[in-house]
Amino acid sequence: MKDEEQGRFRAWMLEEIEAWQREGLVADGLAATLRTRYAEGAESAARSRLISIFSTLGAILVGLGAILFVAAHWEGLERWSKVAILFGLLFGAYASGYELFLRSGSSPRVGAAFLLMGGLLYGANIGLIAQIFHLNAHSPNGILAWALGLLPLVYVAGSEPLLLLSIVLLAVWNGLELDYVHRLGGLRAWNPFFWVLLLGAALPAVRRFSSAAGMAGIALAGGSWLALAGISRAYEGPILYSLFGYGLLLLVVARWMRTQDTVWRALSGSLDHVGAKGTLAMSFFLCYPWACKELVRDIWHRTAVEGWIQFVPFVLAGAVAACAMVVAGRMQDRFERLACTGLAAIALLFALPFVTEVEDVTLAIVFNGIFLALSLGSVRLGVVEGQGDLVNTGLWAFGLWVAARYFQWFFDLLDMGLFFVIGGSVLLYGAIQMEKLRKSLQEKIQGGAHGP
Amino acid sequence: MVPDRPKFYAAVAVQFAVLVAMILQSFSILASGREVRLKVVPVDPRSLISGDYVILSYDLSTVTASVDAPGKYRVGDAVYVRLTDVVGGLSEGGEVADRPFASGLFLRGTVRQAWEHSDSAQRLRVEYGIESWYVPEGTGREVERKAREGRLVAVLAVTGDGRSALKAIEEREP
Repeated sequence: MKDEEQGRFRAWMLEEIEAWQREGLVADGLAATLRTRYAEGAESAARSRLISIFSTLGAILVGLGAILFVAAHWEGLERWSKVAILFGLLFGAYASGYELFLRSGSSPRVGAAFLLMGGLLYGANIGLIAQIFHLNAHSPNGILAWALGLLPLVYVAGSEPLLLLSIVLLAVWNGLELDYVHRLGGLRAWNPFFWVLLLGAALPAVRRFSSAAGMAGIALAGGSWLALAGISRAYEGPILYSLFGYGLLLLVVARWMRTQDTVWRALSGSLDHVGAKGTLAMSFFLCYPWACKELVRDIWHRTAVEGWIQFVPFVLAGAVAACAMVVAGRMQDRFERLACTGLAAIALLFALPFVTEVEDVTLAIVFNGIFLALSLGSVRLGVVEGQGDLVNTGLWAFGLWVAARYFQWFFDLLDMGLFFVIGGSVLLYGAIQMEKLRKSLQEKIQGGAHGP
Repeated sequence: MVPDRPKFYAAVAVQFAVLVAMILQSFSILASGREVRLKVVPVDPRSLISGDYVILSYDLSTVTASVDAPGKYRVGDAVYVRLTDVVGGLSEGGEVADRPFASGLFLRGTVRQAWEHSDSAQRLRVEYGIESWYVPEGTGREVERKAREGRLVAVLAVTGDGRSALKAIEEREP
């Protein structure tokens, strides 16, 4: 069990012990003993997290400090001395982490921090070796070499920080490649090797070590690819739309993962988080007629429309609808079937602007409905799957929608003073009610997650 | 998860292999290539300095290539530029081809811009991988000034297949 789950379990146990003692189920002495046992465990978990945070920060600071110290005395050194120092620091970081902390088992968290430091030093080595020998290679290759060079260590040592660093570097590499092509005046907006590396090299590691953070990282990296591809084609409307479709796709893939083995089921929560937040964020903007007007104009009225990026939303819509119906057919759980059917319906609505030239106001109204459905669906999904964060996301989104619509619809209709008084009162009352609802849902989740 | 020692150090060795390959890439050219000197020409008046390296440009950074059909050379294509000796121990660019020359010394480059010069010629902006020179921090402005005055000469190592690497930057009277 991860530290956060252990912490929640211990907190629940302490509450239960209080209840047992009140109801006379356990004697006072036994209750005190149990309380001490789980409180120590809770403190131990908190200390463990603190060690992890401090050692990771310490490793990053030592790594940066080593780089800065060497840099300050750099110019006076001969070339091969520089190489010897760089190699020595790199080997020292890895060897220290492995021999002193990982292998001996004395402090696995400090060992993991040393591995992260080594990973950062490896990247610094690449840049400094290029400087020393005046290498003029295609600069994004350095980032790619950094990302790929970390992966063997990820697989061998199971280092989640190095896995996350590798995923971030792949996303950075993709951005640099697109920027490089763009500066040359090229229009190539895609980098298919990015997906090959992300899904072929990083995803197996995510699955092997059941890394929820890694799964979220892959989902976000994929979104960054889509956003950059859209930006490089300079189409704002389809970017929002494409990212909305991508978020829907993540939600459908998460539904499919819940029909698979325990590892995929455990990882599906990450995709639910990224997908829910992404679709809500994008559809929030699409609730406004001005954003829908941009989209309709880009699809139907640009004279120089070319390339594949404008059709991505349409293809995504079809893919999402088809996948959702397939997954719905395989679901046992009634709620999951309903969720898949709902996602398929949203996907078909999402394809509407590509089939007929819709009025921007009509499209905005459709997206208001979609936004409400997604926010309430997020709350329901969070309750069913015991994920408090999804409940919070859904409730926040709903509250934000109410506030945004109030400003949008009533700002010009009401006297200014009256507008703010009514608005403020509604917000206050709404916040109190939502907080009550949120607390009761969270208690329901925690009771369901940790009950006997 | 505690890995076995051999596996752990094998994974670390992959990173060292990447770094050694980078060194060998440069070292192989520097060790085996023939020494050639090219005059560094002034570049755009915008700052040459990016970070702590200077951007170098040469006469053969822009070449005229004879073509038998318009648009023969495109961005990303490999080109080969023959080197001819001139006065003062310097070399300059000559004939341009889309494949390696059978004899003589030449540089291999990549087309970064191409535009029509006439019905039978294209002007090409070419990069050879010798356009960046890392300098000690704070000295870039001085190097930039000397480049504008035409006082810098780049010393390259060039292999038989056209690969090149920067060895040094020398200062000469213009």
